[in-house]
Amino acid sequence: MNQLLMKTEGLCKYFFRDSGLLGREQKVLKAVDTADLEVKHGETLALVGESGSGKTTLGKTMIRIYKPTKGKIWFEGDEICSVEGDRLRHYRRYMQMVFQDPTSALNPRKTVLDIISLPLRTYQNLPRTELRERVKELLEMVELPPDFLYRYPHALSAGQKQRVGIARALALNPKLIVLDEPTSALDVSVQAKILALLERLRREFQLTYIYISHDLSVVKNISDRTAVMYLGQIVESALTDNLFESPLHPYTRALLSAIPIISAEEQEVIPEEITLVGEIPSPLDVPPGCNFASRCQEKMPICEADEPPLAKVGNDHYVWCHRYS
Amino acid sequence: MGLGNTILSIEGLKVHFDTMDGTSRVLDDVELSVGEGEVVGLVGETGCGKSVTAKTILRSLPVPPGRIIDGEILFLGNNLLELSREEGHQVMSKKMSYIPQDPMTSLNPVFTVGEEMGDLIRWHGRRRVGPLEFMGLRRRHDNSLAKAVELLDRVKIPASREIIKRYPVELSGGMRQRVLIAMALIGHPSLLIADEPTTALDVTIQKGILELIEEKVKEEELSVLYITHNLGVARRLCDRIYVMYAGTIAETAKTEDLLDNPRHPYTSGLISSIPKLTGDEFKGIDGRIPDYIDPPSGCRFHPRCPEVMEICKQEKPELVKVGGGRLVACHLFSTRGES
Repeated sequence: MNQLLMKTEGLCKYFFRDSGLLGREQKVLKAVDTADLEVKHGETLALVGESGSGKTTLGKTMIRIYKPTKGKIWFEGDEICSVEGDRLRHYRRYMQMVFQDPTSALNPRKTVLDIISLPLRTYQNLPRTELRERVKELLEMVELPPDFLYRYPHALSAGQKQRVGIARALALNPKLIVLDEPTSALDVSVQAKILALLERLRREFQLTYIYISHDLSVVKNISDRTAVMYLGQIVESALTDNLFESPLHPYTRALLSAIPIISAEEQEVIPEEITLVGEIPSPLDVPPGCNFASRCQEKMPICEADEPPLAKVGNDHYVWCHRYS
Repeated sequence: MGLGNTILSIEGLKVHFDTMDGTSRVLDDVELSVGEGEVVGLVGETGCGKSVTAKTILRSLPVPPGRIIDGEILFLGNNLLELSREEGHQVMSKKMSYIPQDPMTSLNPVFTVGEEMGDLIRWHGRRRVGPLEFMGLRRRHDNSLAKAVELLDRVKIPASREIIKRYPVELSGGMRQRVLIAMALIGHPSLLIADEPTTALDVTIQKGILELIEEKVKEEELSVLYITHNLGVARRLCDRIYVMYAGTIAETAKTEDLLDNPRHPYTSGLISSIPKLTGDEFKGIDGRIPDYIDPPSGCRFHPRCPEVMEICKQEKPELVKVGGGRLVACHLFSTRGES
């Protein structure tokens, strides 16, 4: 069960922007900078961070929606960072994605049948009747009635649209699904239902999830391991329970202390109040040293000079901070 | 209720919208009050009528398609729905202000922060503009920019002298929200209506904004109607919470009482839907918010309610007192009365 499904080493995704006179200068936006991650079979790995921290870009780069700038990715032991064409197509069917905004993720001019069957049509040559049966099956898996087949997305609620998005991701029996904030556009009462569905599907089909989210309460409840990102870099990664019990990186602690909670019991779980001052620096112009140094309340002189090294501080608990090296 | 006098009270407010498919009965007998110095939360899910309520209070409801059918909104003793445009402006402009939801679109992109704030400071509370002023030929001698800087300092914007020269696109979301809060504080209002001001922000930024609002409430002795869908945010800020469902008030109680001991089945459902850090199991509510054109008979929550009874399908429950300043609109309690 605990076999490695995916591993990344020094994975980078940079975006380049021309600037200056006639575009002679090039600005580099380091959306993901040297990400080292391991994803085990059957687990849910959460990527958390604030907007602009690069969590979505990392998720998309890991499943080769984006072409990595540098680094290595292994999927079930095969190096997939540089594969192209048919070989990439072969791997892609095992790596699917569910998108953040269910409304813009579905083509408004296609019926649910067309939307869910598209991956099937691209990878398998099934007769129409079989195709319809398979889509019906998929609808049943995500707890939608079969008469939804001929509906258009505008006739569905946000929760139902997200279920269609999940059904589409399941169509090719993937091994890994990247869930990019699948519930951030939904109300809490619907969110709880979708999360329960995802959990059931994971168990039933032995799926592995990479769950991208900014909602730490959700992450705490559904993930096995969590990686915290700040400005393109992973700052801390650990088993979820360990991370919430003993967060080490100053950013992780600030993030946890900012969660709006609803009961006194929860108050005891979160760390002491830390209010971050200042804003996230522009990713086009990252200061030297530790990315977080400009907002860190525990910074030391070395933090503004050198990049923090990786420190292993316990079983499966890694932190990138000068305090622990 | 509250710390003395009531500053805002809404009774039996009904708002309908005329749509192509028929009349959408959005607000149905909304009752709500805000005491002096009280921070009141209005909590509910998307489409439950929170923003319509706020817009009706602010008299910015688009009419048509909106129609105010019935009810009264008493603000400092004046019924806002009966006042003329002019009178309403007189009552509201100095005493009520508003923080909008989306900091990205609420500032005019073609003006600098200083120009936009300066305009508001200069024209605040004035109704008539002389022709020369209108054409910009005569500037009133004023110190509006200095005042804008002072306001920005009050909302803890660093380098405020620099910021007033910037355009909104040059500011981050949190910074823009601070500018909007500063603008809402111009003229020392008594009542502040905040429509989900932190929804678009990250948690660490949200925390800073909530602290700022908390501080301003104390400093300026503000009363606040704080609209949010996030019970965690409401818990942090509010003295009392109204829970709204499908255009009706389901329940109101002091924040702690409501969260620790919810009475209305919808409130319990909502609270148990929220994933908690303590890892307790969370479950959603089946079904979805009803269609407003043909709302369910009786209690609007009955098709989703786990404790539905026969009477719920026929009669609309009234808000009844259940002790400790709590009001619940549910037949489970109307039969029992005081408990």
